Amino acid sequence: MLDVFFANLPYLLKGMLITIEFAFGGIVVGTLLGVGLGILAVVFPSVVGKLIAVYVFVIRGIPVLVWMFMGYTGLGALISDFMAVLIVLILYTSAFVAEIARGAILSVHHGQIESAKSVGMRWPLMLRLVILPQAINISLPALVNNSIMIIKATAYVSVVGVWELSYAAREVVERTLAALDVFLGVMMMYFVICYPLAIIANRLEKRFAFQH
Amino acid sequence: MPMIRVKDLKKRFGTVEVLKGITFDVEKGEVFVIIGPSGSGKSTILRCLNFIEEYDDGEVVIDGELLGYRLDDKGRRVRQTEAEIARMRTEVGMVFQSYNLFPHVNVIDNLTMAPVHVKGVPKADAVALAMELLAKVGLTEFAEAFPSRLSGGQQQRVAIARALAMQPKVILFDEVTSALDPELIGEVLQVMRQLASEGFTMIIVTHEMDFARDVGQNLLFMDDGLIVEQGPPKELLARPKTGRMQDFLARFHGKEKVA
Repeated sequence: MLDVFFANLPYLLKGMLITIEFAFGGIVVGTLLGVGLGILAVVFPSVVGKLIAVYVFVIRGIPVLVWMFMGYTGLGALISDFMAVLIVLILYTSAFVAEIARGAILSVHHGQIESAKSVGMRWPLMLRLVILPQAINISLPALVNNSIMIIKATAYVSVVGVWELSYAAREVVERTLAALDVFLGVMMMYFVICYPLAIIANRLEKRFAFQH
Repeated sequence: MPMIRVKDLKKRFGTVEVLKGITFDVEKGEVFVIIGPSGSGKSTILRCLNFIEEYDDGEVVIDGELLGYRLDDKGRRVRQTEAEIARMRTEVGMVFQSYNLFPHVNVIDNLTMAPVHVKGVPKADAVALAMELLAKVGLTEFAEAFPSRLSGGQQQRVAIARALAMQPKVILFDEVTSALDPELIGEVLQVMRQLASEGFTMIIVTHEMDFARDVGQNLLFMDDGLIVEQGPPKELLARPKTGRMQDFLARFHGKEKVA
């Protein structure tokens, strides 16, 4: 049933590798950047926080596909297409993660901040020892959600002509006309990309859960 | 020199003046009790004493040092730096109504976190002191447990030990038994009695009148942001001078004064 898919597997695997590169780069760098922005927005709410709020509002308000086009035509003129859309993915991820991080930090009970202050802790120490460990626990489900969204968003780079798994899939379908066959297989490949994420998320949730 | 000197303390939240000019002294080793109806400002006073609330006017002087502000070269009041405020906070321990233990670490780590990371005490020494304090509050066997496994009374005793671990000059107790089931209140009051007998300087906001009378050495009755009565607890609780304090105390004897 999936003969055409398996016949073209080597070609599709190369595409999958590129997709994984985009996903990994976007998720890892975007999440780190977003967490940093989220922390800054909480610790310096007046000026920096407002700037970050504008950043988040603008980026989240525009479909990722439109950002891809802008990145491709704008940045893509200065740097390689691959880097241009990767940067778009990273910035797009960071906007969502900034809000997830900010929300998680604010969800840590205020009493924790008061008791940390009462034993003489200042913000850097308070964040490192008391707030962030609890915020990580709170934010994990949302971060996993977001990461899955980014894996799917990588497919959009194909629309601006950057080659990866869904681009390769469409090429194969154009050539063989076995659409269902190929896309069923490609669906499984995307699932294979998402699966390790689910495992990692599970491990992380266990690791950061407050033990009983 | 008194351990704590509060002069004309004022605090506003928005347009509401919660503290309207509070003045009192707490001597070293004294057990100072503050009582009063909800909203009278008693917790706010405590929270000004470690600058968790930043008071607007007046002075809080702890062991001779002005808290939260200093005078610049023109004699104007200027806020202290975060570092200075944090340093002064290490000398004032606080125990909260809702314990506020760190849920993501076990009991021993709750006790050693601040001494190690704020004061730079070597881990081994901090652990030794923590075990001593756990023995003092009767919870040695819970050293490795996580806070969620403890009852409210046990968590509050750990919270007291955590405050003691910083070896502060004075300890503030903010209605520490108000959130506890009645049968657990006793174990916490017992620890506080013991600390009082050891000569700790304690400022206690409480509704436990019997405790205030037995253990307190000086009592403040507050209402609506002002001190209404001040004096020895045994005296004031038995013979309140003002109608407001009489009304307030009447509630604790199960008799409502009919207007």
